[in-house]
Amino acid sequence: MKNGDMTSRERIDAVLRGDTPDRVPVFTAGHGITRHMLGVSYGEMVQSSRLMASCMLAWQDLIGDDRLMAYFDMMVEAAGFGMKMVFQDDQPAYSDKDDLLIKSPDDYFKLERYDVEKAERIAMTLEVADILFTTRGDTVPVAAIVAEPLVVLGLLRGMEACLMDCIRHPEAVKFGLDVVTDVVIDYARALTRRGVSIIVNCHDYGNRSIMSEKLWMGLQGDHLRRMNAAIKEAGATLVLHNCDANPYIDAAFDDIGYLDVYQCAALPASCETWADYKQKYGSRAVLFGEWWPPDLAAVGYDEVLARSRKMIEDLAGGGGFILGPTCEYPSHGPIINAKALVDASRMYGTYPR
Amino acid sequence: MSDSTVLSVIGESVIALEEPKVLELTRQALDSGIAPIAVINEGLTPGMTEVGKLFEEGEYFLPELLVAAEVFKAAVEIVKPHLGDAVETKGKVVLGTVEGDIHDIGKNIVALAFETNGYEVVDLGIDVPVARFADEYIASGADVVGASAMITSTLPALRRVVSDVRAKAPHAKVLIGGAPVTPALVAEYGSDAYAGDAIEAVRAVDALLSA
Repeated sequence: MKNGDMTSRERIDAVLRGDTPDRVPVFTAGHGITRHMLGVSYGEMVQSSRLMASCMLAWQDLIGDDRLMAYFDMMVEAAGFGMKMVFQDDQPAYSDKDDLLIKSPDDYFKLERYDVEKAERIAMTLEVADILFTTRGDTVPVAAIVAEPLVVLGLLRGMEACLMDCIRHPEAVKFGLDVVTDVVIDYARALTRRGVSIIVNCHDYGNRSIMSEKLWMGLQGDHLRRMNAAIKEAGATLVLHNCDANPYIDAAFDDIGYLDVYQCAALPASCETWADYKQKYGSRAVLFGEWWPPDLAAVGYDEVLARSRKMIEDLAGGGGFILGPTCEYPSHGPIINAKALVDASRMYGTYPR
Repeated sequence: MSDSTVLSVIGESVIALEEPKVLELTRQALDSGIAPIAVINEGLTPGMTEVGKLFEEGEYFLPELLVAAEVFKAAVEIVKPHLGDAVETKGKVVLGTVEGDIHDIGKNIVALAFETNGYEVVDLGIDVPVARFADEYIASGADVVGASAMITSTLPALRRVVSDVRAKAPHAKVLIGGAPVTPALVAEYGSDAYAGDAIEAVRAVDALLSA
C-alpha cells in the first residue's frame, strides 16, 4: 500500500493496532479556526450544530485532517448543570463568573445527575456527532472531548474557590466529583452511540502548575479510573490530554490507566529527549503532538515542515505517533500551517510497505 | 508565650494553612499589646514568604498558595484598624489582562501574590483597553505595569500595551506574562521582565524596583 492509499479511519486503526499505517496520521485539533471555512463568527458557529458540523467538514476537506471533532467547548457538561454561558463574536464562550452555580461549599451537595440527552449543549454536541458520522464516518473517525470532573466543578464554582475547597472542604468536592463523573460517563456513552470512536479526556488539573499529584489523585483518582474504564467499555479509543508542561504522566499511565493515546504539551520531566520519551512511553500508548500551538501561529510554512520532520524522526519510528498540536490549533493562526502538518506527513512520514 | 514566640507561631500557622488559629492568635497578639506592625512584619509576612518559597520549590501548589493568601489577608484585615499610618508598601503595581482576553484566574493569583508580599495592587480586571494600562499607571503613580495575555490571539494586544506604556511613560517598569508568553518576548516586545508564575512575578518586580 502506497502513501495516501489508506483512508483516515484505516490510518488511525492501523496506528492503534500497533501496525504502521501508510503515513503518520495528523490531528490538527482545529476548532475555532474552522469558522473561517464558512465565514461565520465564533459565536454563530458554536450556537448551531449544523454550522459547527459544516465548518468541521469543510476544514477536513481543505486540510485533510485524520479526524473530525464533535465539539463546542469545554463547558457543555457544566452548562447541563445550569451554568450560564456568555457567547462572544470572535472568541470562545465563557462561563458567567458573576452568577456561579456553586456559591458555597454546601452547594456541591445540591448537584444532581441529569439526563444528558436533554441537556441543550450536550444534545447539540450529539447532533454534531450525528452529522459528522453520517456524512463521513465511514472514512474519517469522529472524536469528541469530555472534561475532567474537577474542571467541571471549577467552572461551576470558579477555579480559585474550587482549588481552595479542595483543601478546606474535600468531602464536598468529592461529592461533587461523584455526580459529575456519572454525568461525564453518561455523556461519553451517548457520544459513542452517535458514532464517536475517539474520546479525549483533558487532564487540565493533573499537572504541577495547578496542584500536587497527591491532592489530584487523592480527590479524583478513583473517579478518573471509573470514567476511563467506562469509556473503554463503550468501545471508544481514549486519548489523554494535558495542556501543561509538567503533567503527572506516570499517574496517568500507571495509576489511572486505560489510555490508548497520550498527548502532552511538553517533554515530561522524566525524559531527557523526545527520543527518550518515545522509548519510555511509546510502547505503552500512541503518542500525539508535539507542536506548541503558539508556535504554529508564529512560524511560516517551511518552518512547520522542518520542525514536523524532526518530530517524525524522533517519534514516529515503527508507528505509534500522531502529528499535531499539543492543544487546540490557534483559532487566529494561519490556515496554511495546518496544511503544512499534513504535507509534512506526506513528505517525511511515510512508512515502508 | 513571649512576643517573639507568638509571632513565630502565627507565621508557622500561616504555613500550615490553619486559618482559625492564625486569626485567633492575631487577635490575641493585638490584645496582649504586641505592636500591630510587628504582627504583620514579624508574624504573618514571614509565614507568607515561606509559603512562597515552598511554592517555588514545588512543595506547595496553587490550592495551598490561595488558601495561605486568604488566611493572610483575613488576618491583615484584623490588624488594619490598629495600624494608624504605619503601613508602608514596597510599591504599587497596575495589573490587567489585555484587550480581547477574558482570562482572569492567573492575573488574580498574581494580584494576590503581590498583595501578600507587601505591594499595593491596582487591578484593572480583564479585557482592558490597551491605552488604559499606561493611563492608570500615570494616574495612580504606580511603579510597575503588569500585563497578561492568555491566548495567542491576544499577544498583539500585549505588544501594543508595552509600546503604549513605553511611549507615554518611558521609565515605567513593565512585566509580562500568560500562557503563550515566553521569556523571548521580553526583548521582542520591549518589556522589562517576564514571569511564569505568581511568585516569579513578585521576585521579578522586587528585582526591578531594587535595581
